[in-house]
Amino acid sequence: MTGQTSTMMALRDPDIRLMLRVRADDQAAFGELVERYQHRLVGIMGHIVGHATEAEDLAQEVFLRVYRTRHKYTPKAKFSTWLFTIANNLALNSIRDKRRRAAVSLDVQDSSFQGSRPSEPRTPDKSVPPTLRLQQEELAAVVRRALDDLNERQRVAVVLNKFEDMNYSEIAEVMGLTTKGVKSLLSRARAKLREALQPYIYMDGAEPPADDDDDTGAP
Amino acid sequence: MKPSDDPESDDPELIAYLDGELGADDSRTVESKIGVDPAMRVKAEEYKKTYDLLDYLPKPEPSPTFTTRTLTRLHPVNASSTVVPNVPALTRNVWPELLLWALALVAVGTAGYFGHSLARSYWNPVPEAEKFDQADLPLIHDLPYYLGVDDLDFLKLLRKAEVFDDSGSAATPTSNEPRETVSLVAQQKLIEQFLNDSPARRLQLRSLHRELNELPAPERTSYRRTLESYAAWLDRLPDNSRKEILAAPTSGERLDAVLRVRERLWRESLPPSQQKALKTVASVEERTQLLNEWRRGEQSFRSEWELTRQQWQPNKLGDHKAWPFYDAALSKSLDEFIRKSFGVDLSQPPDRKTDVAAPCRLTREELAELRYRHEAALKEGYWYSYGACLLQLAELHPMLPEPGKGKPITTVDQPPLTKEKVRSLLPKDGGTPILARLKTLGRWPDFALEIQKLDANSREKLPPLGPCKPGEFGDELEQFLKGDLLPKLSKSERDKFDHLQGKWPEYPRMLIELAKAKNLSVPGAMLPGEPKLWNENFRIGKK
Repeated sequence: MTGQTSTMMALRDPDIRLMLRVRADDQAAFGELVERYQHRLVGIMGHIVGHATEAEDLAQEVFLRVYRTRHKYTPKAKFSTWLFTIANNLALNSIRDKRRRAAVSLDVQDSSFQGSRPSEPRTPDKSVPPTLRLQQEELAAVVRRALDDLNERQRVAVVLNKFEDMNYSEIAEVMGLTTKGVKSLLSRARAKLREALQPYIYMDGAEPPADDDDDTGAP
Repeated sequence: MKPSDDPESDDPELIAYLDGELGADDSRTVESKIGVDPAMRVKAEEYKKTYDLLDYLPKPEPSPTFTTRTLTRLHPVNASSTVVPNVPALTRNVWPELLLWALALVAVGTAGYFGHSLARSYWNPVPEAEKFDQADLPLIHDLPYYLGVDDLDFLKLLRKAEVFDDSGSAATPTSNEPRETVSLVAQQKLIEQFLNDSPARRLQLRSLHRELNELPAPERTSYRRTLESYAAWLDRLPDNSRKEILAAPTSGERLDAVLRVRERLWRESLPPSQQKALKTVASVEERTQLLNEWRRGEQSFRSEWELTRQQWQPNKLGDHKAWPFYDAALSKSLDEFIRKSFGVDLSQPPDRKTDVAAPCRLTREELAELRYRHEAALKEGYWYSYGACLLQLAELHPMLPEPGKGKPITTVDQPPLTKEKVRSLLPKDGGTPILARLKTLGRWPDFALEIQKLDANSREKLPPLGPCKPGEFGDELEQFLKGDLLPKLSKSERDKFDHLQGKWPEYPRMLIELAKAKNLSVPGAMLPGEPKLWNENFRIGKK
C-alpha cells in the first residue's frame, strides 16, 4: 500500500484517521474507538458465542489486540473490516478452545451456555405445530439453538451478513475466504437454518405463497 | 415440503439473489425461475422469513463500564508489549498466577506492604495518571462544567448553534478568576471522580482545559458561560435524556442529541391547550407551521426577557431611570405622546368601563400590558421593559400628525364629512347602514384612515382628511419641518416628498419615513427622542 493510497483511505474513513492517531499512541483516540465500536462488537460476539459476559470479554480482547498491534497498523481496507477480522479470529479460537475443553472433561458438568441448554430435541418435532402464542423469549431460544447448530464458520458468516449487513466480498475479507466460498458457506448455513426453523416460519399467521406442489418440496 | 435440498439445487443462486449479490443477468435468470416455479417461490419466501426470525435474538449490549474497564487494561498492555496474554478476559481464572506472584514476592524478600501493593497493582492495575497531580487541581475544580463536553470543537458547535445563552450573569467568573471556594470534602470528591475517569477521558479533559485557558480572555469568558449554562441544563435533565446526550459518540452527534432533547422537552412543556391543538392538526405541514409560530412567540418573549435582564442590573444599581425617562423634557413629551397617540392617560386609575373607549386606540390587553409595565417601571425600576412596550405599541398603532387648525377628523359630522356621505360609503347589507358600526369612531387617525379607505372606490372623492402640505400642521411640526427635516433632505428626497403634497395620508407618512431615516422624531407623531436610540435600547429581536 503506498503512502498516498493510505492517505486517501484515511480521508474517506474517519475510523482509519482515528486508528492512525491510536497508532501514534493517542490514548484518547483509542477511547473514542472503543466508544464507537463497543456496541457493534459486543453485539456480534454475543450472536456468535451466545453468551453476554463472554461476548463482552471477547470484545474487550479485540480492542486490546487492536491496541497491542497498533504500531503495525497499515490501512488496507475499511477499519471495520480489519476490526472484524480480529474479532472473527478471536471468536473462532474461543469456540474451538471451548469445544476442546468440553471434549477433555466430559465428566465435568459444563457451566457454559452449551451445558446449560435445555435437553430438548435439536430438530423440532414437526408433528406438533408450534403454538401461535409462543412467547418471544421462547422463539429467541429456538432461533438461538438453530444458530448454535451451525458450525462456527457458518455462524460467523450468517451473523456478519445478517447483523453487520456485510456483503459477500466483505465477509470473504474478514474470514479469509473467497467470495465463492462465502456464497457456498452462507447457502449451506441458510438451508440448515431453514430446516431448523421451518415450523416457526409462518407462525405470524401469514399464508405461505401459493404452491401447487407443496408436498414435493424442492423443484 | 421437503426442506432438505439437493446439493446441486438452485439454492446458492437463490440465496445470493435474495442477498442482492447477483449481477443483472443472473438476477433475471433467478427471477424467471421464481416466476414459473411455485416451489422455488415458496422456498425464496421461507429463506427470507427464516432470516427475519434471527431478529428475535436479543442483542447483547456492553455494560456501562465497558470503555473504562477496557482502557484501564491498557496499562499492563503498555508495560508488556512483547508478552501478550492469550486469554486475558475479565472472567479468567487468575488464582494460579496470583500464587506465583506471591511466591515470587516472598522469594525476593519483598513481602509485606510493598509486596501487597505490587500484587494489587497487577491485579487491579492502576494507571500512572491515577496518582493525583497537583497541576490538575484547577481542572478538577472545573470538572462539573465539563460533563458532556469532549473538546473545544463541541463547545464551538454549541455556541454556533446558539442553544445556550453565553451572556450569563455579570458575576460569572472567568477561568483565571477565582471560582467559588470548594470545600475540602467537595474537592476530595471531585479528585476521586477525576481519578475514576478513564485515562483517555483524563487526557481529553486536560486538553480541553488547556485549550480553553489558552483562549483570549473575552472569548474564554464567553465559552465558560456557555459551558456553565450547558452544565446546568444537563444537570436538570431527566436521566434518560441526559444519557441520550452523553452517549453520543462524536461532537456532531452530541449536538444533534442536544437539539433533539431540547426540541422534545420544549414540545412536552407546551401548555395542555397547545398540546391539544397540535393533536387536532392532521397534516405535518400544518403542525410544523403551528410549532414554528409558537417557537417564534417564545423567542420573542425570551429576547424581551433578555433585554430586561441585561439592563436591569445597572438600572437597579444606580437607581437611575433609563433613557429617555431620566430626561425631564423628553419624559414630559412622552407622556403627551402616550395621551395623544394611544389615547391613554396613565396618570388616571384604570376603569374597566371607560378605559378602552375612544379616544383610546389600544385593545384591552394592550392597555393592561402598558399599565402593568408603567407601574413596574415606577415602582420597581423596570424602565427598559416599559420602553420596549411603548416601542411595540407605537409600531402597532402608527400615528399621523394632527392638523394645525381645528380638530382632527374622528366623527361622521366633521367637515368635509357628513353622516349622509359616510352612510353612502358604507356597505348597504339590505338596510340603512349603521354608522355606529364604524369601530374607529372617535380615534385619530384610525377613523380618517378607515373613511379614506372606504372612499377609495367612490366616484366623488373626498378632499384630504388630514394635513398634507406645509402650513397645515401645528406650529411645532411646521417648525420641525422647516428647521430640522427639509434642510437634511437630498434633492431627490425633497422632490419625492414635495410630489406628494396634497395627498393624505401619503404625504404625512412620507414625512415620518424621512424623519426616521434622518434619525429625527416628528413631534406628536413619533416617540419623542432619537429613533435610533429607541431602536438600540428597546427593540426586541433583530435591531
